[in-house]
Amino acid sequence: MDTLFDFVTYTKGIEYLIAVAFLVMFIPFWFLATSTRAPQPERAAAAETVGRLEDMVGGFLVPDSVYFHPGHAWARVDDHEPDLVTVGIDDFGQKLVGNIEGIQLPDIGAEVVQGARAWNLRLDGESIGMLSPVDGEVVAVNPDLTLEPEKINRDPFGSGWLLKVRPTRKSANIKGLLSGNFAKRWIDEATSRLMENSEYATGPVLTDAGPSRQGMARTIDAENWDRIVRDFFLVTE
Amino acid sequence: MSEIAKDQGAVGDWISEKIFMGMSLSAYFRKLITPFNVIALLILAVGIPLIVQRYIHGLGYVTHGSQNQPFSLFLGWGLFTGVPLAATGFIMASAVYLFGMKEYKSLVRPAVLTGFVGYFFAVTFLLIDLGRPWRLPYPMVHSFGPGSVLFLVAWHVALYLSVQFLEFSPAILEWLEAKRIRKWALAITIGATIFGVILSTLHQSALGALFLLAPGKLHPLWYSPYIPVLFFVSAIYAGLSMVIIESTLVYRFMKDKVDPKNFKTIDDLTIGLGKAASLVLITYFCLKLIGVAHGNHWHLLNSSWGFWFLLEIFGFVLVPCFFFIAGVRKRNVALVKFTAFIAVFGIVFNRIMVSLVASSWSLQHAEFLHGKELLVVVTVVTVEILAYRWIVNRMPVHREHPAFPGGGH
Repeated sequence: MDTLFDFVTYTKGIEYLIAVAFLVMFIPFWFLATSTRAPQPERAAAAETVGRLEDMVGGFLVPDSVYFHPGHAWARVDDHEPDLVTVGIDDFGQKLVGNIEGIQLPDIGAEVVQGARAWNLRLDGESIGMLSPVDGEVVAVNPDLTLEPEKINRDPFGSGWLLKVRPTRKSANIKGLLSGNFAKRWIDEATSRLMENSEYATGPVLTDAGPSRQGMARTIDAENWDRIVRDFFLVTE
Repeated sequence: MSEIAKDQGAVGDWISEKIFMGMSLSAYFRKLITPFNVIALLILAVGIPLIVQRYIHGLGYVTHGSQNQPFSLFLGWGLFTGVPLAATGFIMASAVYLFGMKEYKSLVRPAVLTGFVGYFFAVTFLLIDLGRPWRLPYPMVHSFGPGSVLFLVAWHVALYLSVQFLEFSPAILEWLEAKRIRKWALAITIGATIFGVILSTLHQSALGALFLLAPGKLHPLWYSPYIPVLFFVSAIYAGLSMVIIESTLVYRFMKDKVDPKNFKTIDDLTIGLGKAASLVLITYFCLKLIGVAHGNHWHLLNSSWGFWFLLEIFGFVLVPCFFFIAGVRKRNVALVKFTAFIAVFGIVFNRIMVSLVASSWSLQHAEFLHGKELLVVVTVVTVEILAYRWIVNRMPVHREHPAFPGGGH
């Protein structure tokens, strides 16, 4: 045992060194294996939207690229499909209702009318309708939502889209919708209304961080949550 | 008289529906004429007479196995390779039922079936290989021999085969539409899974422990006091890779037997399995290095045996490990599937090396491949594939039975 190397090998130190090296190396290896370099499409969409902090109002996403209907549905014209309008539920809307158990979408080919009931959400055994932001014919519905309605909660402006509509009065419809700063102000007001209106705020549920949490309506009033939701979604029953 | 005719009609309908998949006998046989079936038939036509002759003329007629070379290809392939490749059942059942990874539920039944069929045919290989196969039940009923590791292996394989049958029984009972018994079978799922994990952990490693009995027999690079652990850890990634391979083949060649909604999720599940396999592979690689370090056998790496060893641990362990990672990170499902084949080939390579080649390293003369033995192995594997296909065609394995939505499994 003249040298340190001899000592280490004689005492089977290498065996222990490999074991220690493995344990240390396992940590970066774990991150290498569990983090995906090429993000999944839905993650990419979410990352893109979430990344734009200026799109956040009171904890709710209000992207500039989207037009909002006051009933908390959105409409967007994508560059690659200029003849179609993609429709969904906005971030405030999905956070208001929380966990969406199911959704009843119109059939392909059905007509939707701006401001008229177009689809129903299944929430806690109740069915609550929502209004279409545009007029037109439904040409596609999001097939994933039948099995994974939670996509609406996870990524309301991305993989949680609901319909693609061929609009009949696109420009007139869009004029009737809110976007940019108007949309931000409207969401801000909706938030204030939710937080301050004594009609709803019956319990100490809203934190300093704002109300942007899942299932806000139920947190505010566990018994009459559906009334709050219908008020904000502008539907009567 | 008319009642008897009615009964006969009902039996006929039952056989037509359950066995001939609702077809008439002539239509069923017409459907059987496919290139795959013709090749399978040819293999059986050659192989089955060889198996019969093995029982007439003895083992020497079909194998080079001897006192010096105790594990022939029958066991090298059938038992030492077949058992880790059949680890699918305990891996997936424990992932879903014990660790709560419910998203993998659709893969449990196929995995349990692969495991059950794998073990069943491992026992078939044993029956072919044992000099006196009628003594197979001896460790259970006649002379236990608890001093032998084989006692452990025999009991575990027998018990685990029974457990896997129980785990798979809900699918059989759904096929037979036996609602009441199925309820009981479902009720014991968790218990059977836990028992299955205990048995698998012990006997996968016990197969390795067999080599501890003869330290000089196996080449020092493959021999290590850790060999039971090496066998167990490698069985985990073998099972994961086999689930990928099984689903790849079934989703490609038996599409109509797969629930359409499973097609949506299979890519994500494959990626998840690849991720798990990569973590196990890197662990296994380091354990192999520790094995070499423990015996201080580094100098042996620079020899022809060493090159084979390096090929194994780099080519069939480290390379698939990083291929899996690359596939997972780029969400390249095809790469993950391809890598699963490499990983399984690595397991075959390792088990054949350990049980046959590297355990004959000190012999003056050793022959491993007997043409007739190879034919018998191919025959049994063909029967294995046919049996698996027969079951998947009839029972709710990759799909739900319409009368039992949710499957319960």
